[in-house]
Amino acid sequence: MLENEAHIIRQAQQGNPEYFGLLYDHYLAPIYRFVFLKVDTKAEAEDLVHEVFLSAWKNIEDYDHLGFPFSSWLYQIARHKVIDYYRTKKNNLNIENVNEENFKVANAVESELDKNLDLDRVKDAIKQLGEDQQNVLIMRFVEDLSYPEISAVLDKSEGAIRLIQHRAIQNLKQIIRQSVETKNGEQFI
Amino acid sequence: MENNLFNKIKLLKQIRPEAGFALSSRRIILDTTKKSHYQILFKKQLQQTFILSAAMGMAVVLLVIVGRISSLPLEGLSPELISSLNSKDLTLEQENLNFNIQLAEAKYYKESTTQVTMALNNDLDSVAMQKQAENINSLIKELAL
Repeated sequence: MLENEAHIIRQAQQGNPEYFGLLYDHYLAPIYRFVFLKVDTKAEAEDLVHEVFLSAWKNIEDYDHLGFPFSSWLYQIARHKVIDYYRTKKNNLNIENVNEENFKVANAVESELDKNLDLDRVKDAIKQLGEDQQNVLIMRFVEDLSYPEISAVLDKSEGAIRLIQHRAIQNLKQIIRQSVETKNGEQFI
Repeated sequence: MENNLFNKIKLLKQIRPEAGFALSSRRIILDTTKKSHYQILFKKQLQQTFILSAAMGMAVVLLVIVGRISSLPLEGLSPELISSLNSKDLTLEQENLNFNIQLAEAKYYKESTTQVTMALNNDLDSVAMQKQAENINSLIKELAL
């Protein structure tokens, strides 16, 4: 949470762009990660993140501070943008336009090549989870959000979030195990 | 495996947007003309006023409906309908209904008992007559011998 966040938000709500700039700088990376882990390409992630912050800037006066950080509100906008993205993508997907290189996390984390192979696998596995499980996993383990914060974003009880988290971990392990077995099988052929 | 998995997930935190994208997106967003503070306040005020007047309107409509029902003129209505609105009349009607049902049951049992008795008597008579006929037949046979 940004220091003196309530004051910054009030200023931004009064139409002061410099203060919204502070919010943008602070929350850009987590929102970008959240979106990037759910879409196929870096370009799509950038477009969606731009839309998220543009929408937040246009509607910031609708934000009510109810004890949760501003990030909860941003995650909610991001979540809806991703849902819309998949809704329209389903109708427009053309397999010839998909560039495999865009799937690689390597574009985002170029420095550690060895880890990237595994990270790609983890990213692909996360993408195979259901929407709620993806959200909980990313918010909890990548962004270190608390259970109350996640429950505010997803509008579910904390108990439900813990349950979703448990299932997400089990499913993720299963998916990765299967992917490793498939890869090993291919090497022997 | 679980710890390793969590470590791998944590590594995803290294993902960051490109600096070029961050700068250009920021500039475009902040250059977007935003409504002035007064316009925003006016919009909010307008929304609140609309919600308040809608709520008051609904309350007035409800009050009018309730008032109309309680002051309905009963003179123009049929006696059956008026009595159906009176709880005392309804209770009395229900009690009479029970009483009538009990009377009907008593009448049925009385009639059915008489009919059953008569049927039984008829049966007994026919059995006695059959026995007498058998006796006469046996006497005629003896006399004939």
